[in-house]
Amino acid sequence: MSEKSNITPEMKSHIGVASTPVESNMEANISEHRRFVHAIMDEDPIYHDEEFAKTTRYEGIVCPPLFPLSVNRRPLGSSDNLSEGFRKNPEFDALMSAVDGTGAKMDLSHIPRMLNGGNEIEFFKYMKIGEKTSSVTKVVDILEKEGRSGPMVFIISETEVRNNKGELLLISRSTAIRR
Amino acid sequence: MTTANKQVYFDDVKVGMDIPNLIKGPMTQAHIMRWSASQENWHRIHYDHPFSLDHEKLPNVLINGSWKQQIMCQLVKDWVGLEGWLWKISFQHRSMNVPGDLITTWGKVTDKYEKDGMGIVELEIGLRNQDNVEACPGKATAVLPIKGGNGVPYPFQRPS
Repeated sequence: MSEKSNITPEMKSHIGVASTPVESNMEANISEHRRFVHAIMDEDPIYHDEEFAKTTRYEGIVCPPLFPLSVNRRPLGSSDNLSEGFRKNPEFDALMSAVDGTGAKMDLSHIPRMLNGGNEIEFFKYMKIGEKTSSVTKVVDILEKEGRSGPMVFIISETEVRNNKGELLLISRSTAIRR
Repeated sequence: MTTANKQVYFDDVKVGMDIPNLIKGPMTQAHIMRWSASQENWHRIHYDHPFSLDHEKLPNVLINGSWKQQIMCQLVKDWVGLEGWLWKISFQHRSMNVPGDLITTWGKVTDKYEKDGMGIVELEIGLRNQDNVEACPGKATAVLPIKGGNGVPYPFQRPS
């Protein structure tokens, strides 16, 4: 059993503090939308039939529910992280975290191992072509539990994604398990 | 099946009933590539066969978890139709899916109740391959219009 908590005062100080809004560097454009819809094989007319979609309460074609999480892309002129990865390590797995920059910057070096503890999405509105996103993340809670392999820390965070009119599109709640 | 099907109403839903399955596939390496490319996801486990097997000790290249997430959302979106709303969804990634898999997503009504004039329906959902291996057990909350009611607000507003 651990004699002291792995939740540092610095970690606690992050609870409830909202990040500054992170603007997406791309807008939802028709070509990204087209490729996305092709890949998910969803023939829903609300994604492609403007005339039909205008008759619905969405008032025109919309992007798929999770599309707002895909509009942040590597900008032109940024450094080539793919080539850099392979230069450093020929066995590079090419797994690159999405350009979100929304995570709270807290020191977790004492609990380096991470597991995905699940994720819940709550939807409010569909994104539309031409819109950008603005995301605010905050740590909602940090809990500690005794696991089979020792103490585990659960970091629950919440990201609110809005469009550039300030309308709430979705909230993503995720739990990171660290030990 | 799309949202443009016949509208389902809260009144017609019974606890224990299944919602229509959504089937995709059989999936191929090309389908995985198409999704990965659309997401600019260059993670090698989705296209580099020798790397996946020899280096990562995986059985094959893998279907993206992020793709499965889209399909799980489509399952509920299609069922609730144009006048309903997929409010909440959460599920786990319990098993890998590989080229050759025929993907069936499914849902079952576990509860229904009215709140603020909205018809709230709780669902158990999942994603199985052709061997009935469950990969994404989870749950969703759908909101359906009630016959003669005010409808589900759009943009969606949580009941109080």
